[in-house]
Amino acid sequence: MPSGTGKTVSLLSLIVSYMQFYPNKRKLIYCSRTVPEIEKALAELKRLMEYRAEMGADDEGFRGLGLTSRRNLCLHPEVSKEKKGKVVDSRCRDLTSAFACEKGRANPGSVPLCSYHEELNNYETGNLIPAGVYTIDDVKKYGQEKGVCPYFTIRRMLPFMDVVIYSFHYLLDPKVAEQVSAEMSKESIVVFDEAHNIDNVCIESLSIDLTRPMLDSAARSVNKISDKIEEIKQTDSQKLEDEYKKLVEGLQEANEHREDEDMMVSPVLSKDMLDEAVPGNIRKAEHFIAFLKRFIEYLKTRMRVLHVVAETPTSFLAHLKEITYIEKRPLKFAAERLTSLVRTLELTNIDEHYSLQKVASFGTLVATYEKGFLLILEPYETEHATVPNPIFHFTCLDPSLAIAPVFERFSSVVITSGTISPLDMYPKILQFQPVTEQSYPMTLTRNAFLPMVITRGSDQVPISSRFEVRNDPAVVRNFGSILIDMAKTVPDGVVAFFPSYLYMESIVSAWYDMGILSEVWKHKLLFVETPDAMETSIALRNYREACNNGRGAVMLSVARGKVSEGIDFDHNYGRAVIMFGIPYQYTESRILKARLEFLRDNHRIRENDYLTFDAMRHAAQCVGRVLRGKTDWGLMVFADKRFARTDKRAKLPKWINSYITEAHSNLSTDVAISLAKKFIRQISQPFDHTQTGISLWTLEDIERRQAQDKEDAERADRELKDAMGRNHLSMRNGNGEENGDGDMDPDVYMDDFEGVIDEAELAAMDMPMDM
Amino acid sequence: MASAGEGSDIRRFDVDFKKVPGTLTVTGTHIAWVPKQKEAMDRQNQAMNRAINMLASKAGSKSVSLKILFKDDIPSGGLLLVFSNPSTRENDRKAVQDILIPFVAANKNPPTGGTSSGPATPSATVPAAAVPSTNAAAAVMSANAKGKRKAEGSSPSATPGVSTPNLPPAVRAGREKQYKLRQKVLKKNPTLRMLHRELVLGKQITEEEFWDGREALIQAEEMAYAQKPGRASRLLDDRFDLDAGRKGKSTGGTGVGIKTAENGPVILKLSKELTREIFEEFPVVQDAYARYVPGISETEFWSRYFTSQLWERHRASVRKSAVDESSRKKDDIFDQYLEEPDWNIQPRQAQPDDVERYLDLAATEEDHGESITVRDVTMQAGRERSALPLIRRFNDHSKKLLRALLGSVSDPFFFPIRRRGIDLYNEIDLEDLHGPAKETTITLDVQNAADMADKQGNEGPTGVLPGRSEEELRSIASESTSKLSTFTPDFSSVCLPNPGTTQIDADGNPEPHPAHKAFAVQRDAQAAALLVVKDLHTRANAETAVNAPIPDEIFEQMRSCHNAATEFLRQYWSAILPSQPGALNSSASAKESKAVKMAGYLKNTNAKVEAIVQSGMIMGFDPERIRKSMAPTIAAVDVALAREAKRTTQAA
Repeated sequence: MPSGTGKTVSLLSLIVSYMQFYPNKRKLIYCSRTVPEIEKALAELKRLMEYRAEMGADDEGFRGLGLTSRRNLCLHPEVSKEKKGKVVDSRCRDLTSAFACEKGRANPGSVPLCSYHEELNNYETGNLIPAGVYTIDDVKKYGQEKGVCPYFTIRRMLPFMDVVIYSFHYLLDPKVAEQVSAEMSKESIVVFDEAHNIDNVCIESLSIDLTRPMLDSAARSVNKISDKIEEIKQTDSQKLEDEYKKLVEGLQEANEHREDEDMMVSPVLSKDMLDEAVPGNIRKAEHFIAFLKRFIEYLKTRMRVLHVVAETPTSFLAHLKEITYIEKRPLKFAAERLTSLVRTLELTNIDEHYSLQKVASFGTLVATYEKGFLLILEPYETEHATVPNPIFHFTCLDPSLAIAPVFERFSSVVITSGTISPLDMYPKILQFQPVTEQSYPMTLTRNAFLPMVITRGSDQVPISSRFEVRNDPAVVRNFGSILIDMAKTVPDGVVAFFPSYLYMESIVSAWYDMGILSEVWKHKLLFVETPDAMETSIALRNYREACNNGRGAVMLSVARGKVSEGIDFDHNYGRAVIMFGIPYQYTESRILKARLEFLRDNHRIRENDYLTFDAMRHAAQCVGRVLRGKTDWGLMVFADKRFARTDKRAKLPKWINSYITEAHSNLSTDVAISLAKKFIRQISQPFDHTQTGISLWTLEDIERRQAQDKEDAERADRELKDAMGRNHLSMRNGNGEENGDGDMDPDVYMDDFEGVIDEAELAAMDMPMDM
Repeated sequence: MASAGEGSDIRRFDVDFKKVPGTLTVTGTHIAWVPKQKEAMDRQNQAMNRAINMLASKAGSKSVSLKILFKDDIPSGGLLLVFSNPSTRENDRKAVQDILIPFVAANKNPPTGGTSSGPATPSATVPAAAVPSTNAAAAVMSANAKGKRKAEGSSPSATPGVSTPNLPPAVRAGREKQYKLRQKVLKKNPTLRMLHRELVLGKQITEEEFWDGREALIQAEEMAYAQKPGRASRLLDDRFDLDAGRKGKSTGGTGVGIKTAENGPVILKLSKELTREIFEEFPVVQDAYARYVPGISETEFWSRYFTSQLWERHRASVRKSAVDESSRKKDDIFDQYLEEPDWNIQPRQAQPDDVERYLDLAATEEDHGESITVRDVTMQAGRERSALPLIRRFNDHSKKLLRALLGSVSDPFFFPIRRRGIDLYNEIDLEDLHGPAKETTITLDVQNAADMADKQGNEGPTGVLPGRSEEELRSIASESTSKLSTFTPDFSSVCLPNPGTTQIDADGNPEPHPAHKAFAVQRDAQAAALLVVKDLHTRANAETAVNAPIPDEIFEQMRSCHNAATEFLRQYWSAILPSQPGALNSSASAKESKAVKMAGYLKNTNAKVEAIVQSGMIMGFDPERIRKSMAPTIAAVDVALAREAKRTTQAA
């Protein structure tokens, strides 16, 4: 179902009620996708708690916070000016790391410190901020008032929180999760909202790519560090001695948990981390440096190869050993040994050494994982390129690896999204057994959106973003005329999505040359997504302004791009969305090919099925952006002849697919435009939006339903008295389940309760209204 | 004198024109002659501010005449008016002359910046066209603003209200503007125009009175008039399509302002508007202009610009110029403004970072360490380097258009003041999940409301059959339905057979049938019933029957009568009702006189309607229908008249 149907607040209210009802307060970890979504979820939670207070619930001491990066939270007058998260992290570390603080406090003024961070020491641990729910902006405001650092306030308060809201990566990406989420209790309830793309997040968090410039930079870093070691040897050789001793005792002790080091942690999952002493041959700093130098040199040599290489980690390690005598075991420790060294040397500006960290992470990952991973060396970026620009991909093929620890650790995991379809794909690729799977229908009091499949231009030339025809002038022109006609027909905002940046950039130039954009300009302003996030944000803001003041605007952006995830084009911001072509992944990509092969061999998912599934979930994401709530309306245009095929459409979420009638699934542009005109005229008529009794239930409606459910349950109970245990209890019967016709569009909702949950708990989750 | 616009200074004189006796009417603004004979066609109506000369016949000559000449010699030869009233003709002429003197005086020496000169004829200095040395494009600057809106309503005729030439120009301009607006309103509104013609030009009420109370119309017109076309939304360089001629292929430009002579140099016509747009679009050009133009001529500046590499960069982004880089010639002014195209991932221009959080894509991008994987080729934004400057220009251009819309083009960094941070609750609020709002009723402040309510309750039984309970009603209903459903007409019981008038009695003689009488009674009753039903039927049909349309002439008369009556009513009520503070003509006496006058007009309404009825009857049209359709008008007039009678008796 589209956004704005109340998914987030339903989940939150249910879980918070449960949490507050039972004395063994379980924590809620709520993961969302983008910062705006996190902020909105926090606002929902805040309002929910206000409502609970109004209704007389006693939520004394309830705490809810959201976490994001330093860059989004920093208040330091200079550091906060930095645009790049990496740089902010590094500069913040220089001002707040343990050794800097030690020095600065012992001898004020010798080392610059951050006053916001220092101020935190005046607060009692576990009570850095008064109880309550704070949005990210609230915390920043609070920090500003009190002069405390919002980031560390949140970080240090995490163990005391009842609800934590942050992005997927903080739980899935080992580089971050180890630091941030390690202390989360096993009892926590984990929710992944907007999880339709979760497998890609998993894969990304365990993959790493190296390029030639990166290796060069890493080599420079190594030289710098070795200079530093020489220097320390002269001045403070004791330090290195101490480190050596510590390393002998074991790495874990050496790396006792320190919050300021979260930018340089092990890239592997915690269960794969080694709990043993660092091998002797890299214990000494200079030995480790030499080790790194050798490794980098080896990688550089590999990159000189001018043909594509794909190999397993095992064969890579074998070759590595043959050439450089680097063994698997020390390589496993590379990342952590580097962390230890950086700390010992008290290096500042560690963002300079970013590439080196990546190389070390690469080494550790390669040495740790064998199955489900592949190394691919691509000397040329594209097939036609002549100048080599090699990239060494270490790619994870199995998304279940990254999410497995989450399933293992937490007893309740909920995966949910508005466009998670088909449902059975996710358990397969993420390798878990769902306890319960539910998809909920959506009730609409009127046909609020009109999906149309345009397969031909007005001149009857079929249109498609298929690689062979996408640059055909007839196709480009027909795509353009769809845009022109839509700009003419539709009021306010129109959003268009392209399958890739490459295609968008080339088609925009082509349209300009054909005079199509001039035509669009006659009706609406034109904004285009750019590579720079900030620039795009500004364009989006102007776009919205143009929609608000009646000028109207067109936004061109890319499916899977920045805009398609997380920006809503609701109401007048998007009266029509056009999907130019099907957003397939780049099928020539070797990584994708490897992944498809993996899926076929391990999960028996056919290549085509997966590709279509992947393309359709992104298409659904894009077109779903135009609707928010049930009073909103919009047009959805699928412009590609391949959308006419049922196998493609079947993979769209049902709430969209069921509205694509056969008559609207094979249109030419002119017919589609006249349909659109008719639809717009119709939908603009005054309409009574009262939803009471339909999708908005009063307390009486709910009680009536509960009574009926109870009756049904009792009857079933009697009938099944001895037959079964508790299976029937695991059915969810929340208030959204049956309030529409059976054939209404179901939205997908999945629950996964791993481990054992006792019956009472489960029942309580089912019946929140018992309270 | 005429400035107050009151009807009182309409003056009438007996005047012959072209030997036809008639009446000369002189108002504050116009001079009109209407023949006395109905069938005479010739009428004259001229604005006095067009009079440029007067020639009077010698005193003591046989006829007392006055010749008035008008501007542009329209009507040709002027008007020769012969004053015919034997007793007052000398004085009449004098009076007319007195009224006309100021106009004639004003028109003989037209004041500078006067009212009547129409659009300033372009007296532009067109610099010698084209610099011959350039082959591609030579720019011709024409100094006059081509895009400037032409003064509208340029006809110099009739400017009522401007009767006193020694009014301050501001007032005069205001009047003129108002007049134009009024003309526009009338033009748009045929009914109003007709009314205006009838009432104002027919001298029943004055111009001012007519417009009094119609300010909203004027205002709306003024607003519409004040709207200016905004900036053209196409990209600037897209509109000069220099390539069109050169390469012989269309690239979508429209070629605004381009003239290509046969095989000659391309001539660009630059209006002020266009230069302003160029400056806006490319601030560097403005910079160069400011720095160099006094030094080199404007024409040279522009022709050099349009042949420079800078222009090439500006217009097509880099995609084309890269090819013929070497063939371009150097230009010492513009080449120093050349810079790398803005094609890096990071935009050159610093971005403000005050985006609302829910649009902040960077926040998400930097939310969790940088992605350490490389996206595949097709998904790397900004790979097509040449497209980036173009995309940036699109965004920039759209932004500028948007700002221009908001009227703040001058400041590119202008952003409307917005709330810092967002109203998050508003963001998450879903209107469709609100419960149905209670209707907000306004409680009337009624005295003894409780009593009223009580009374209402005691007003007596309501419903279909008062006093019956619901059960009773229901039983009645069911009874009736059951009766009806089983009802079968028993005609034989009511309809006697015709026994024949006579019967043969026992002795064979006819004698009246004894049953015949009963039959006759019954037959007559049947006939009567049939008549009644038939009548009912026809009447019911007549009610819904479509009437024959009213003949056009009658309809026209009715309409004009109605319109006039409504206007009078409007005027009357506006005179009677307490005037709004600040309204014109609010003095009590003026209102009083207006009210009386309007009442006088209104009194005629009945007669007018009768006249229409008469003419309708002559044409053979149902007079009742005319009366009926005019009834609401008459009723409204009657209300006003009754009110007026009451008022006057009260006053007396």
